[in-house]
Amino acid sequence: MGRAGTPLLLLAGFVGLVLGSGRASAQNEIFGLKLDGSLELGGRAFIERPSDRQSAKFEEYRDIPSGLFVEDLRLRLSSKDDRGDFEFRAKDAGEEDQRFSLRSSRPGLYDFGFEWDQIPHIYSTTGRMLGSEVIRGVFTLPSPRPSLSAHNSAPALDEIGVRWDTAEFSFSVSPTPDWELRAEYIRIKKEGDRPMGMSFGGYGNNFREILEPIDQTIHDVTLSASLARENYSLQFMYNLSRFQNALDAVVSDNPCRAPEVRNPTCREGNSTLGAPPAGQIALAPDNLAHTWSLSGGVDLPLRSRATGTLAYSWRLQNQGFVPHTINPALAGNSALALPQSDLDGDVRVLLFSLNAASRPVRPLTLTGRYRLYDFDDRSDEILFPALVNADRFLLPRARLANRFPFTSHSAGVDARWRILVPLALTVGMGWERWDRNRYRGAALTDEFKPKAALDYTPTDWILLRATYAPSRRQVNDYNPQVDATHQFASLRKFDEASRDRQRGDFLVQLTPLDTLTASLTYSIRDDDYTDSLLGLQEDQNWAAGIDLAWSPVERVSVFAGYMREEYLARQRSRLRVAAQLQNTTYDWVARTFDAIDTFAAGVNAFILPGKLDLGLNWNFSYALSRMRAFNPATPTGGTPAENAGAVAANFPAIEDALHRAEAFLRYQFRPKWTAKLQYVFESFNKTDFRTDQLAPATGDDIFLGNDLKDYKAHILALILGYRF
Amino acid sequence: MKVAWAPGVGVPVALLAFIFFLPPTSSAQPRDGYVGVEACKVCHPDKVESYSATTMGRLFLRHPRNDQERLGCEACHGPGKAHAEAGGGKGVGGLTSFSRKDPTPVEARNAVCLRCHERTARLFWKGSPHESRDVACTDCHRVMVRVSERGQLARATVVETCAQCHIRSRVQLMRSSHMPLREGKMDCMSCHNPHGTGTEKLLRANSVNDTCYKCHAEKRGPFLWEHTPVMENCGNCHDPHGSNHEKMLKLPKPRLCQQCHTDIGHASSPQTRTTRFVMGRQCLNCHATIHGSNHPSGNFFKR
Repeated sequence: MGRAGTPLLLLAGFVGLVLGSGRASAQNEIFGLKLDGSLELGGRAFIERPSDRQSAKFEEYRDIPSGLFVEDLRLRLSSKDDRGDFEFRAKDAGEEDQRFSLRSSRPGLYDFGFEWDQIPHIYSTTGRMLGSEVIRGVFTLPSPRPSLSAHNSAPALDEIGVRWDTAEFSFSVSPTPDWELRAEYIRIKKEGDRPMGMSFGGYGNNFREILEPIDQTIHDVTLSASLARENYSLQFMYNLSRFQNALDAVVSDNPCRAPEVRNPTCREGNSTLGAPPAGQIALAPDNLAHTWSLSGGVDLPLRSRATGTLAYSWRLQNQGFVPHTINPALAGNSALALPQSDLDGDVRVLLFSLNAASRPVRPLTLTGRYRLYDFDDRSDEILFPALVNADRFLLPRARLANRFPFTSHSAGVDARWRILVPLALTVGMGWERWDRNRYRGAALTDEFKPKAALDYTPTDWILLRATYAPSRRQVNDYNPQVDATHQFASLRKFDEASRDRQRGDFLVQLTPLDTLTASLTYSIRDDDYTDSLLGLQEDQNWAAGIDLAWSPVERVSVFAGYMREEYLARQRSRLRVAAQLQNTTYDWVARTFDAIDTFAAGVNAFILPGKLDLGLNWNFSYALSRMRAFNPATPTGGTPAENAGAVAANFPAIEDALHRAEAFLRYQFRPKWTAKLQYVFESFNKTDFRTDQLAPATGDDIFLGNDLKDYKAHILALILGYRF
Repeated sequence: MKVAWAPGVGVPVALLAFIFFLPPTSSAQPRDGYVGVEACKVCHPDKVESYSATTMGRLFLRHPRNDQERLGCEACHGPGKAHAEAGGGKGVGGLTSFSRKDPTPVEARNAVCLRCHERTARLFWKGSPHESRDVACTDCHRVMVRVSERGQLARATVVETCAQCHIRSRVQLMRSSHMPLREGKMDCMSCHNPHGTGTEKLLRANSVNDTCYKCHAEKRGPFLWEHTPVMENCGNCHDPHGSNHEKMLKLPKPRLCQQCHTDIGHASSPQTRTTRFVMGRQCLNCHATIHGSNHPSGNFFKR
């Protein structure tokens, strides 16, 4: 059914039902059931509309067509005693982001729901691509290959995006007030394409940006039962999640080389050293996960309660391997025979958590918690006698595909003491341990997390919450997994490195008048990676904001808000080239700084109560990102080219701004009818040197040449509402 | 890969039809100290009327299932006889009240709700971060009026309800790189259970990654070649609440990857603005399968 078909069909059904119920009785009854509902039908016109090339960001997750649209349709049938009901709902019917739901419930007894939801996710509307995709996921180019410059005038791709279609069934029943049984099935279907790079060798060779074909389905089934008695409760849950990918691999021709024919317009990528005519990437494999869990809670003496969960997951993956290469010059090499046909992937995940809370005396609350998460990867460790680098050349060294099991423990105790009626102080200590295997940098890390928190309500209109939570992660035996050309001994990967963290959160809520509320918030986090001579050394962020809501008169409410956020990351690295593996003058430091300002304001006014109301909303967000870099010392000691390669420089700033304003006037011109006049302004501006004006043919590489374009939209809509 | 499927939808549909026609429960007489809904209605007709339109109101006032629910208003507010006989008034007669400025301790107010609701999603409420900071059920929920379509929330939507305190999370929705929350396709409850869980950050699933796999199951693996920080925590590279960097990354590439990678050549190079390592998809121009690869030669995540 076309774009217009669904709303027209819904409209006809709605009118038929309303007329039918009207004939049956003046009380809107049909088939002996009460009928009520509403319809919001509108027309939309663009005073200024983003062009197709500008629409990627504008319609990133939505569809905003001009013309007739059904914003919302709701029909509800209920029994005369209001015991049970049945509701149908449609939002944005006929559009790419439409949503339908069907729901039947009898409060306290059962609830049945079905929902169909579409989400478009558009990545780009400005890509270009030469060649064809006759077979899904196989991107071919003519032979001999076109000159690289020909890619600049390649046909434009209509749209690069993926649509998610989600269907969800759920049913829960409470045969008695203490029992609840629930079944849920969710199916997510994703179809479309998204940009993907494919290289044809090492970093001196070329790559081509293609489209990753997306044809994936997720099935998710959950069955649960819960029992709640006066002193205890239990809950059992089983979940099955299955991922299916209709495609195993994506194949692309190499723009720099056809079989036996070099592309003379390529400089490096057409090297005779095994340049492959095509390459192949394996797509995400099918997988399956079962999860069982048992949770419970029990009341204990001294006003205490203990709760716990035991969950066990079993993740499986046995998708057959694709061959090492599709390069005919290498494919027959005996060293590339696969040791086994698939991974026989098998991961067992155990979660155990235990929590206890107690109030032995009224002003004191004690809580304790322990959590174990064990990720036991039992998949095969496969030793490959040789590998192929990007379909280009043989890597004759044997390579083991390691497994990386880990276990994490976390525990903590808190004591909260209400010192006075308005003041409560919480102190606590937490501990977290990660236990990894010998293939990781830090086999064992311990982190200690003291905490102090204050809740203060000096009067009934002031609430102050403050939390200070520093932590220290200590790594005593870091193994940098060094070899001749890879990681430095002094590098520390931030997720496994020693770290001192300072963290604070503050919130003040003021309600000096019933009509005035103000919230002030401030949070800060400062991570210092104490042992990281190379790698991430410092990671800071803070945010401060204010929200105000005020109703000067009963008919009018005003709100405004502002937040400033800043992020800073400092990292240090050292250029390593063949003859200069440990030249400290090749050190460079990068400081990445982000600042984001977000504003919001609005007014809601009932100009004529029950008749005419007005709404104004405004949001603006501006983000600035700077990537700065410098050398602590002047690079020396290598060749002029090597020294020049070690010189760090700032990158241009990256900026984006999103601006949205909305105004509406709604008038109730009949008891059941409303008319809403709406105006929306949106604009998006972005500056990103990495993608702006990127030509498809850049050096030996081929890009899609896509980027998100700025847009500006002025939208006018008139929406008629009917409620009965 | 073959799996055994769960029962089809036929079973729940048959159950639904059966349950829909179950006979109603009978009403009972008020107990000592209680006066019944009709007495409340005399002075509070508007409250009773708005309450009767809510899910709880329909259940308690019209179709109670047990003695507790048959108490109607007094099921939550406590026996009202002393209040009524004293002529009513705020704080008169020892009724439990739920307004934010009421002196009744939050714990006592919440205990009223938990009498019926301490199961399923509320199983872990006691000792949870919100409970331990004296957040009242009524800070997020409205019982007497219907403000939201579902969940009897204090605000029209989940996001607005959470944003009463979590202002920073709300403003992150305005980031250029975000999940479809501001488009109404997701909300905070898609990933979090504010009533408490056995997991960090009040996540609904067993870990950060398990939360993400619910919709991004293609990243679950296990893969032949694992990228270990990916396998352990998606949050090492992504900020799920929104970012000004593409794909909700915490830092722009190539700096994000260079935090950990110092291999010979391009990974350890500061780079200049026009190289292939900085343009387009940056590191992912070549390392396309960065979340893990099942290709026999995918050890560098290029295949």
